[in-house]
Amino acid sequence: MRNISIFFLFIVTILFGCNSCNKQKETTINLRLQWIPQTQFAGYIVAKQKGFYAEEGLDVNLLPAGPDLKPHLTVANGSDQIGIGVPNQIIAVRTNGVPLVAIAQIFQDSPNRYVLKKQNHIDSLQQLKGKKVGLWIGGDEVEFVSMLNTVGMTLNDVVVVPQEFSVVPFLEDQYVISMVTVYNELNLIQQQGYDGDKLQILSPKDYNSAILGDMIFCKESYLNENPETVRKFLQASIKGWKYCLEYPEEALEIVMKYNPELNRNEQKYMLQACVNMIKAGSTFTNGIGFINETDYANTQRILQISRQIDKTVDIKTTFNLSAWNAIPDSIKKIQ
Amino acid sequence: MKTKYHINYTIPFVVFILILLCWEFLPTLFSIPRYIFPRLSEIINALILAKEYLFTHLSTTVTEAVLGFFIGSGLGFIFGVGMAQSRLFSNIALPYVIATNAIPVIAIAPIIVLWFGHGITAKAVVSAFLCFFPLVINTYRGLSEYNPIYKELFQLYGSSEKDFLLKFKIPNAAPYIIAGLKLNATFAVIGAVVAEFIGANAGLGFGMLQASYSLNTPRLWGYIITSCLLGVSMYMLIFFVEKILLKNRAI
Amino acid sequence: MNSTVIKNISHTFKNKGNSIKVIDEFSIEINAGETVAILGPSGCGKSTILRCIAGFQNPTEGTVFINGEYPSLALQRKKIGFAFQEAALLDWKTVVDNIKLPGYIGIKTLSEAELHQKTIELLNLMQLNGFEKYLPNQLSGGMKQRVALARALLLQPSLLLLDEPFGSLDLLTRSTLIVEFAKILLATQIPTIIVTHSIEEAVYLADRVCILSSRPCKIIREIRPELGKQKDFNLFEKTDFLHSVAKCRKLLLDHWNQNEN
Repeated sequence: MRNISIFFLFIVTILFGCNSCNKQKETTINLRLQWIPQTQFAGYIVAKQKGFYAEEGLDVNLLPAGPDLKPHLTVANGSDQIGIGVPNQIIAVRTNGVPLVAIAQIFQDSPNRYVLKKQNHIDSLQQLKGKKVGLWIGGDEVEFVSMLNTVGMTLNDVVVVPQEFSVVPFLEDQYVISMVTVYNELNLIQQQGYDGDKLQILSPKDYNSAILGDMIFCKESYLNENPETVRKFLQASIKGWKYCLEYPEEALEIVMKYNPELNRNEQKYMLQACVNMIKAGSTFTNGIGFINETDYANTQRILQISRQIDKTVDIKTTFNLSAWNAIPDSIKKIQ
Repeated sequence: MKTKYHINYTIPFVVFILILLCWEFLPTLFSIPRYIFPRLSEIINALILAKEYLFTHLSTTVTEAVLGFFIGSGLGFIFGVGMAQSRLFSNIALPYVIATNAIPVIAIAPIIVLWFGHGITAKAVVSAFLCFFPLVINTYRGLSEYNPIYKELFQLYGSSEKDFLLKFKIPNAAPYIIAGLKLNATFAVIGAVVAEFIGANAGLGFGMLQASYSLNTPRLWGYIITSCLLGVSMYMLIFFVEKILLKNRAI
Repeated sequence: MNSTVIKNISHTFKNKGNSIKVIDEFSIEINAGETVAILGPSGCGKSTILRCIAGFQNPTEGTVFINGEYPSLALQRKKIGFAFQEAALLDWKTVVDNIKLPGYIGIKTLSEAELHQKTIELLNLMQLNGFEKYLPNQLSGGMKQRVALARALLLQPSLLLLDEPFGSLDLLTRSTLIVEFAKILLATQIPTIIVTHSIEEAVYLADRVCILSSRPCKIIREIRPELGKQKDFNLFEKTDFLHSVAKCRKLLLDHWNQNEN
């Protein structure tokens, strides 16, 4: 009788012990995306679905954003720990004393392009004097302002037509040149027959006016208090993006399964555009997610020219690579 | 008399100054960062820095609000008269009129922006949308509530229905209609600003969105206060119109 | 034909299956210069009689002729003057504009100059001088009634109907206005019907007093006070006056007691 009791106790202890052995203490992170879950955020979706976050002991919630729900707000007020944003926004909020900081720059190119139909081909921006230009305004026009600035022009030298979210006005020649993103508008225009040499595509990088795309950011205090957690998060996220570079078809499937309401063709196109933006700039030299101080300083300069900011900040305070630096090269670097 | 003066003017004024002082010094006292809750001087400073934008945004919103005010109030008045004069019209129109009040503006604004684009038109439409119902109801009420004795008075002199409407019912309804216009003064501004949030290229609401994009909270507050003042000014305008039109009337 | 003839009017109100007969074969004939008072207890239907005569209501039976015309036609030609129990002035118009109001409703029968002239005359007649620009909410009850009476007289009606015109006023104002009004009636000579529940008022103002029974009302008796044309404040104490008042009171009470039993 006594033997059986001891045996029972033994089994229970092992089971209980094993249970608590397997269960690591998981850290929960709210990651606020910039929009709905789509291939623009494939790296993070893949990292979650393939267990890269779980391997690091992280329980990451992928939260969508929208017109009324902005990552910089939810991270600034503490409801979310990490967010996806763009460098110009980080610089702008820092000029207002908001302690957010960029911790990895995933897209190394601007997602914006400026397109013209073949018949309106230009050799120099100066040829746009007095012509109609389709732009998104309210902050998004800064790249174009900087581009014009390189040839000594200002927005007053062209006729700005505020754009909404349709490519139809461009197709109907309501303006000569239109601002588009590589995420979808460019594809839509090309699908209407304006592909190959029928469409002239200007890239802001060629004018030293590129404001880079998606980066990862968090609150300064969060980084200082949880350096290991942040490193683990970045490591798993970069691993996720690397997976997308190597296995794009599988990555597409994972995203489609995660959000079945997406349009497959559009998402395929978007994923390719994101991959192109990763395989650019500093990624080749330093690895996925590197922040080049020159890029950020240039961004602040662009914001100044277009008077989006009233004052400047020390650019070194807008980003912090301490967590990124601790990630092994084998994970960050690509061939 | 001195006490009355204090009650009417001195004490409210002093309280107002106290509130302004708190707004200026409490945030520093409690170390509240500027991007959470800015001090009054920071707000004023931000507005001064942005004064060109402020002027453009303000004139855009004013245009939208004024257009919306007149269109919405005008349509509301016409519907109110129609419903008061024709039982048939009232029966047909009433459910739709009530529906315009039941639909939340935050839901209808995106649809209107979708239809009319990012320009002034959509904002004026949303503004008009908010101004419609109060005027319908107030006009209808004002036209329907009168002592039946007046109908007989006008009958005595062979008055047509139109005569009775123009010479009695409408002037009689003036206090109600003006009450509705006072409501609409603020609704018009709200409608314009909310629509600008949805899709715009200029205007106070657009300015607020922009300011929140870079968490420029002092400027955001500056725009908010400006829209408040805009609404109040429109209200005061109606108030003075009322004083002139309804002077000495027995209520 | 310068007379108003009301012939056998009866009126029944129908309301959700209930019908209430309020007037039972009321007949009367009035000639120029005559003032007739319709005297009866409250709620007996005397106001309804007046409204049938004015054309606001069509009597269920019987006919009304005003100067040989139906009331509806007379209304069109603005030949009826009516003073309501409440003055019914337009709050936003001055005294002068209120008096002139009938000139601007419906068909214009008088020119601007004639209207102005008539208004001045009536202002004098009603002792409203100095109050031309006042608004109704600045006037006392008595003043408002004077304005209403002036308005009723503006277009020289062929029949003047007064529905308890002094009913809402205090005793002193009422007495003053009754005395003044008797003089006005004498001056204008317009056939007048006054509906009232005040015996003094009826006896003072009228040439003939029709005493009504309670609902459904019909004429019990017609009394002629015969107090002469020149009346003043002292009349209230004269024997003839008091005698007629007593007679009317007795008739009313007797009939009332009869009904109670």
